[in-house]
Amino acid sequence: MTRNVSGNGVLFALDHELQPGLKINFSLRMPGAVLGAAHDVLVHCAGRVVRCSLSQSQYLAAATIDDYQFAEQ
Amino acid sequence: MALGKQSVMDILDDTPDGEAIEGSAKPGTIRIILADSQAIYRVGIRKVFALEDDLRVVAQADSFENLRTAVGRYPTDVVLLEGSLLAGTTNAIPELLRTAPEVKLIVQAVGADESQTVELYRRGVRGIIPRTISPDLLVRCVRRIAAGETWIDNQSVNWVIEAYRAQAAALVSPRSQPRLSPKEMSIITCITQGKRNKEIAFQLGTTEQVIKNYLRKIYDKLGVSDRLELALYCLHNKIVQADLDEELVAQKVIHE
Repeated sequence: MTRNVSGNGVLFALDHELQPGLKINFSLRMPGAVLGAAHDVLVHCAGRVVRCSLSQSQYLAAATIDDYQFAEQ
Repeated sequence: MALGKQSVMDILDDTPDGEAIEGSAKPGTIRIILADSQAIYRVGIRKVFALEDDLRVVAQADSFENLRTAVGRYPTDVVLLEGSLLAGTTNAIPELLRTAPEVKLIVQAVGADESQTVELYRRGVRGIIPRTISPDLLVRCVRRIAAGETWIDNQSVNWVIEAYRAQAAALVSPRSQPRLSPKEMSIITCITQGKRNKEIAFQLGTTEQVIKNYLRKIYDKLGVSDRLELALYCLHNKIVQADLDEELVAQKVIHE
């Protein structure tokens, strides 16, 4: 579950821990209706975990977005 | 000033031996550099100026790089610059004016474009003229601009005033969104749909370079640096469509 996102990084809420330095791939789905697209816009991202900490009952993992690609429509 | 060998060779000097002519210029002579990628324009304009006692072409350049070198090399009053030499550059005009603050720039534009016109004047250009300008008017324009005036047509005056009004309104109301033209909005919509520059250019009936130029302006206006930030900005500010709630969901996290 995404908590926050910027052009440089993402903050995930997870039920398990991720090790800092771990390379991850993830996809962001942006609502097409807000962006003026017929379908939701999918962006494939590659990044790495920079920190992960337990907050209440879940882990908050911050990851960079090192590379991304808009999915073909 | 140290000049690269290639740069020196690429400057198309007006004088056969490549020396500056300021020593032979009469007081009050307007020293001009012609910067144009097309030799036919340089030759033609030089002939027009040659008929005038007070106008003197001191150098010619066929690229922006060569113009920069020429401006640093020859004392110049006016630069007559082909607009397309600025394509793909971001800070070309401020850079040029840093090199030679007294130089007055006239840009020859192919077509009138609101955002480009406002941006050129904002960055320090003194006049924008069409490529089709008559010789008489060109001479008058150069003299006026050399005298410290600004050369601006009625349409451009309206665009510039409108831009200042919008800027003033934004200062009074800092939360208001940047003003985007219909074309910029079209490009943003395409970007947020994941289209490539080439596809956008095809869809809007223009070239990839024009799209890149527009994108740079859009990034500057919105304070973003790439397509993803632009999409996120649109999502947060609902600048494409404002009637649905913001939503952003990461689908999956895959361990490598």
